[in-house]
Amino acid sequence: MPHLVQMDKKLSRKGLVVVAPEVQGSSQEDILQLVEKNDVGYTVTKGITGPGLATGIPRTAVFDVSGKLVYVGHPMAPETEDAIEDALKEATSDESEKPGSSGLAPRKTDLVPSRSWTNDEKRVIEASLLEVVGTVGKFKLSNGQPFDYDITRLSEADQQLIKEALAP
Amino acid sequence: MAQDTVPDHSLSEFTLGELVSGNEVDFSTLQGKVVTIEYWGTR
Repeated sequence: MPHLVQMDKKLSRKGLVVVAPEVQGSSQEDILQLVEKNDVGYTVTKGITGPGLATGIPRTAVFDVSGKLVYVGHPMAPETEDAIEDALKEATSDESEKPGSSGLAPRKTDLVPSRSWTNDEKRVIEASLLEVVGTVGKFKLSNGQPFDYDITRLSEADQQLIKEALAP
Repeated sequence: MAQDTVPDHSLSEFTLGELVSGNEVDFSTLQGKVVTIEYWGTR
């Protein structure tokens, strides 16, 4: 895990997105304990569904910019970093973009500048809102990573703020 | 050998479980990005 934390910090601005599903069915408390201990900044989830890739853990799967699986191996193996570096040659780098840009093309002016959003489970996330399509908000994290989120899952206050931002 | 055989799969075949920490990730919005999935456990 520490190795991947360093890789995430080093390569996220070059277009790397790290996600780490815990696949032993551990409790949220146990997972968070290790997340905090290792200063993990990337996404951690309880499990993942899809094709079985992990013949043992830990295992790292690398997907290229087209979403194709290009590598599976041990996270500490030198081949893992090589595979990521190779794949990043085709990636959309945030470094070449203007500060604060989203990585989305074309660049959009933020509908709501970066702020803390709270959802109906009291989870808080820092992001700017680019636009709203239906009930889907297109957000951007401070590292430039875009994501979609159903704005009806946000707090009443956040939804009101979006309503006001959308008003002509 | 550190590298496993690479089967023919794409990111769209995967769905993340409940978010515990970090940013919400939707694989469908990550065009142009390299994605790594780390399978891990606390034990």
